[in-house]
Amino acid sequence: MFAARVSARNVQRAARSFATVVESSGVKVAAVENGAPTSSLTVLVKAGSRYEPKEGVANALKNFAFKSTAKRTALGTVRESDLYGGVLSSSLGREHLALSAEFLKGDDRLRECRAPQELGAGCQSDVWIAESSFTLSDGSCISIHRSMGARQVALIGLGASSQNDGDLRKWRRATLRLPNPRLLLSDVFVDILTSFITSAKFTRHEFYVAPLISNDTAAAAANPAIQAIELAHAIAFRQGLASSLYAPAHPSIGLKDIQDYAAKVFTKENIAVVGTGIEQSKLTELVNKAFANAASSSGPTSSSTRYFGGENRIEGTGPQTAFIGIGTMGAPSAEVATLAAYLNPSPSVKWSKGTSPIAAALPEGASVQSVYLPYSDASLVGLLVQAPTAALKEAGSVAVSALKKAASGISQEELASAVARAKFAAASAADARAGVVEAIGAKIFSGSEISLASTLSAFDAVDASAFSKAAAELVKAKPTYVAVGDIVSLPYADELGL
Amino acid sequence: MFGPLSISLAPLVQNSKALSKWVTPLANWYADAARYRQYGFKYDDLVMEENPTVQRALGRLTPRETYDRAFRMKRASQASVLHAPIPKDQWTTPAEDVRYLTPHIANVVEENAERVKWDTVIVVKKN
Repeated sequence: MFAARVSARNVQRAARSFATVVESSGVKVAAVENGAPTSSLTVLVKAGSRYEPKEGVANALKNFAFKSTAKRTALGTVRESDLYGGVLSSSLGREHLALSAEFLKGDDRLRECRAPQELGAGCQSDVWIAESSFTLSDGSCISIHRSMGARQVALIGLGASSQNDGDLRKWRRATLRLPNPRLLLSDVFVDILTSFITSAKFTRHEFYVAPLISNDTAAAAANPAIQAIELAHAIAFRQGLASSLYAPAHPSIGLKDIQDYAAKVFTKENIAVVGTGIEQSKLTELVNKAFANAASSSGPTSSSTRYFGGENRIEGTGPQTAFIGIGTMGAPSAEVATLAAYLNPSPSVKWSKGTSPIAAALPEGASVQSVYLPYSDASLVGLLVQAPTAALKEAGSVAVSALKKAASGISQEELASAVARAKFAAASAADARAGVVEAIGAKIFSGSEISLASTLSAFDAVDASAFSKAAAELVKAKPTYVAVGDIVSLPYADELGL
Repeated sequence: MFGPLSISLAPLVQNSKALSKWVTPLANWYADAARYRQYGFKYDDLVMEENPTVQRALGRLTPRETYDRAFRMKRASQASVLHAPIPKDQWTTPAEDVRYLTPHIANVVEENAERVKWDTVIVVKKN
């Protein structure tokens, strides 16, 4: 139905957002082709904060990414990825831990292995020791060599087969062309990412991630919006999803806790690899090789989410903030996303006030953001209100009345515009690499079909009755109200009409 | 052959079964004759620490190991004042005489070498 309506150009775009999921030795592998000049590789692990046994362990594990492994030290990882021109990053979500590498697609004709005489004076030795190397599927290999002579020189070169051969003559005869240059870098980065998963060392002296953890926590503590969202999750879900993304201010976790957690989550069933700009077959092959000896056991379980709701307030710095929201249980639905889009007061045209009823009634200096956080078995939707103390009560009341109005029924026109906004938000998220990976991550572990078309077509099914039914159910549940700032003067939930 | 701190034939001996069989009793006799165990020391307490490498390795000991090391030093200083070994029941046994610091030193030496390697790398790019 959807395919029949698109134009030829849209077909191409839709096809680009379609990812086939292949299961290779227990690990799910998805490859997306989005026509960008860079490739990326993301390893998603079901090790988000909802699975952590102790507060702050998931954050600590994320900060430990790319430190020493059996194959490379932390310095080696950073320098090698530097040399190959890649960017490594790790991020933590409530459900997944993501380790990513981004690199150029085809940095072909990389480097050539040169004889020492060609390099000029100083390279005297005849003995070249290959220190580390990768062998590609076609038998050619890339290695880093060190000279035993007076001058330390490393060559990154291409050679034919036999990787650890110190015989330089063989290197001079080597072939220097790779049939498919883009595969070279993906080999390297698959190796870097997967070696952290399979053989991280967690050395005691590298537990200097402790300052990184406390930096994360301090940055979050200074931001009242983040504080409000974290507290809202704690109040709404009480366990599992309630765990904060950040470690507590005085964490009581040690190296052993991190090692135990890593052993529990780094198993094959818990891992998915998403590549953009890499061929599916090649990626599957690399993943197979990397995870050949990995542990295989069922990952950590999290009890199914229940929504509770409630009210709470904490001291905070910065603008007075209130979060007014409601949670739903079950897989995220297009109706709730449409509700979030309907409530969203941000204007589509810059510098205008927008057509949202909230925007019209907001007092000066107040700002309201719509919040929509879908998870695999629950969602949290609501409004984040920030205003000076005097105006917060009024701004909060405006937000609450907009929420109630949505439940009582909205016009066809408003519904259509809300659906359009929600659809656009979903589609434009898939434009960026991070959005693609997030969209895939949401579905890859549950085994559902991954395509942008299916996501968008879900919005087409939202009509007035479905919308008002979903909104009414939402409003019937106990709301979650969180206030951050000057706790004496912040309004209470019943003062706002909740 | 080149150990972390000095030239050493120990790896050569340890890798060869015949050599080990003959050299080990000699080595044990030598360790006893050196009499550091009679003052409550472990061998690694006596490694020369006045250089940056060993200082870095010392930073990797656990708090317990650091405390015990300081205690052994203090106890041996007292024995030196008294010009006599410590009581026999407190002597270090051969089983306790574990090289707790040398692995850290070896790692630090390796890491230093790796850093030098990466700092002096010459990347030869074609075109």
